[in-house]
Amino acid sequence: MYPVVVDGPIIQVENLTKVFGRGTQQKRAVDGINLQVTGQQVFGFLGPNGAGKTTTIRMLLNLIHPTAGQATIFGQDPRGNPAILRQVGTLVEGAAFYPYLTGWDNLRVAGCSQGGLDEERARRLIDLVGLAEVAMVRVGKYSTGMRQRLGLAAALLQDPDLIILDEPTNGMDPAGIREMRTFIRDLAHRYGKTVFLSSHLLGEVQQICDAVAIIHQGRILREGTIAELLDQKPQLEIESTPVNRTLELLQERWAAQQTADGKVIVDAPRDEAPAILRHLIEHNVEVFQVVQRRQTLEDFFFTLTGSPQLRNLEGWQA
Amino acid sequence: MMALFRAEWHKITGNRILMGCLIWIWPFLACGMVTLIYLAFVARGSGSQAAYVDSPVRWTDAALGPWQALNSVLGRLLLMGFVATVFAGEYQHGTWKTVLPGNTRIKMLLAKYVVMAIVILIAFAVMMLVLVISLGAMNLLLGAGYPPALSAAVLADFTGNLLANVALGLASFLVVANIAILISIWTRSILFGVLVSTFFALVEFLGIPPILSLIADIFQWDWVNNLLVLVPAFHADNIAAWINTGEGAVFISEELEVALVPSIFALALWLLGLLAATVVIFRRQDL
Repeated sequence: MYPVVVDGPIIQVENLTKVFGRGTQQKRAVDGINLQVTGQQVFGFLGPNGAGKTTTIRMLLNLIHPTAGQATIFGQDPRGNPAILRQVGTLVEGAAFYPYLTGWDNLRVAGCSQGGLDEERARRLIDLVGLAEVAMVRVGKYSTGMRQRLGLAAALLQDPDLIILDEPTNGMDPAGIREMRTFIRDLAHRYGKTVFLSSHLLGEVQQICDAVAIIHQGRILREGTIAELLDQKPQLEIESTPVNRTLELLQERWAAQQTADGKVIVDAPRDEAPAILRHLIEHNVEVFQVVQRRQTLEDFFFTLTGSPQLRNLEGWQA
Repeated sequence: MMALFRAEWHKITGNRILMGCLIWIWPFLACGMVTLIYLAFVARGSGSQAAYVDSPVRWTDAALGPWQALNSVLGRLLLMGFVATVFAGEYQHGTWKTVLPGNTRIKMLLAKYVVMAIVILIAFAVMMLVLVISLGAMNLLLGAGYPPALSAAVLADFTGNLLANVALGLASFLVVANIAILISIWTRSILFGVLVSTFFALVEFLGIPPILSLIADIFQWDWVNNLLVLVPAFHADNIAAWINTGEGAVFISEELEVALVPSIFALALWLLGLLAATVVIFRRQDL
C-alpha cells in the first residue's frame, strides 16, 4: 500500500492537455487545465457532454496519454507509478464488465486485477449495493442501473482513499439515484474518503458536492466551493403585470431584468421589498408575488451561458 | 502478478462458449476421430482389421500427433479465433478501464499471454491423453497390440521427442498467434485479428513457396527462392525435420538447407519481434 499524502492535494492537475487527431481533424479535448482536489470532500467536475470530463478522468487513470501537462494522485504521477492507482476506486463512463461472467465473478476479476480480492469485503459490498440476490446471474442479463451498482461495488473493493465516479447515476431509477447520492455523501463525510464526481446533472452536483470545477470545451471556467460560486448579491423575484411597466419603474432605482418566464429579477435585499412594492403599487402595477431569489447551480450556469465564451451549450440538453 | 494471472484465468475459462467452441473441441475431435476410424474398420470387415493388427498405431505416435497438429495450418486456424477474442475482447466489452488502472500494460499483456498459452497447452495435453487412451481401446477391440512395449529406453526417447514437439508446436503456433494479437490490439477488433492471422497462416504455408518459385523461374533469379528463410513456417518445418529425422528439411532448392540452431534463432526472432511490436503499440494506445 502507498502512503496517502494527507496535507497536500489528493489530485493535482497542471496544464493538462489532450489533443486528438492530426491536421485539420485535430480536436483539443482538454486544453491546459489546472485543478486541485483536497481530501475528504466530494468534488464535482461539471460540464456538458463533450466538455472534456471523461478525457480528463481517463488521463488521471493512465488510460489516455496526455499531450502535455501532468496529473498527480497522492503526489505521484500514475504514468511512472501505475500501482498508485490501486488506492483509487473508479467507475468510468458506465460500468463495463464481462457479460458472460456472473456479477460475483466479475467482482473477483476486478479484485484480482487490482492486486487481490478480500472475499468477505466483496460479499459485504455486493450486499450493500443491493445485488446479493442476483450475484450469481450473468452480468449480460443486468440492467444499466444494476451494472452501475456493480461498478460502484467494484470501485470500493480495495477500500480506496480516492473514488473517481464518472456519471455514476446514468441509467438508474429515481430511487437508485437518491440512494447513490446519500451513499456518495457518506463516503466523504462519514468514511473520510475523497470523491471526484463527474456529472452533467447540475441539481445532483449541487446536492452532493462540497466544491466544483466547471469545464467547457476543454477549459476550466470556474472552480470553488458551492458556497463561493453561489455567493452573490441578494435578489428579489417579482411576478406582476404589466411586466414592461414593472421593469421600467424598477430600473429607475435598481438593477432589474426580465426573465424568460415573464418575471422580473431585481438586485435588492429582502429589506427593500416593502419600498419596491410601494413604488410599483403607486404606479398602478398589479403585484402577485415577491419572493427572495436563491440562486442554484443551474442558474449560475445559465449566467455563465450569457457570457461570450459560453454561447453554445446545447450539450446540456443531452 | 499471481493475482493478475488468476484474473485472466477467471476471464478466459469463464467464457464457456469460447472455451467450448475453440478449446475443448480438440479432445472431442480426437475422440470422434478415433471412433470414426474404429467404425470404418468394423464396416470394412476382417480383411482390413487383419492388416491393421499387423502394423497397429504406436502409442508414441498417437501422443505426438496433437503437437504436430498444433503446427499445422488447420490447427493454427481454429485457434486464431480464441487468441483474438482473448486480446481484443477487452475492447469489445470496454473492460480495459475496469482492469487496467493500477497495473502496467506490459504486465496485463504478459498475464494474458501466459494464461492463453497454458489453456492451449492443457487442451492439447488432454487431447493427447484422449487420443492415446482411445486408440489403445480401439487396438484392444480390434485385437491388436499397442507398441512399443514400455521400457526405460523407450520412455526416455519418447520424453525427449515429446518435449521437442511440444516446444516446436507451441513456438510455431505462437508466431501466428502473435500476429493475431498484434492485429487485434492494433485494430481493436477480433474480426481483423482472425482474418489477418488466418491469411498469414495460409499464405506462409501455401502461398509464399510457389510465388517465390514462380518469380525465380520467370526472371531467372534463383536467389529469390532463398527468401523462404524469412518465413517462420520454413523454420518450424526445418526444426521439425531436424528433430524427427536428424536432417534439415529441403524446400524447392537443395541449396536452401539451414542448420537447426539458425532456424531456432530465426523462429525466436519472429516471436520476440512480434511481441515487442505488440507491446509498443499497446503502450502508446489511448483506451
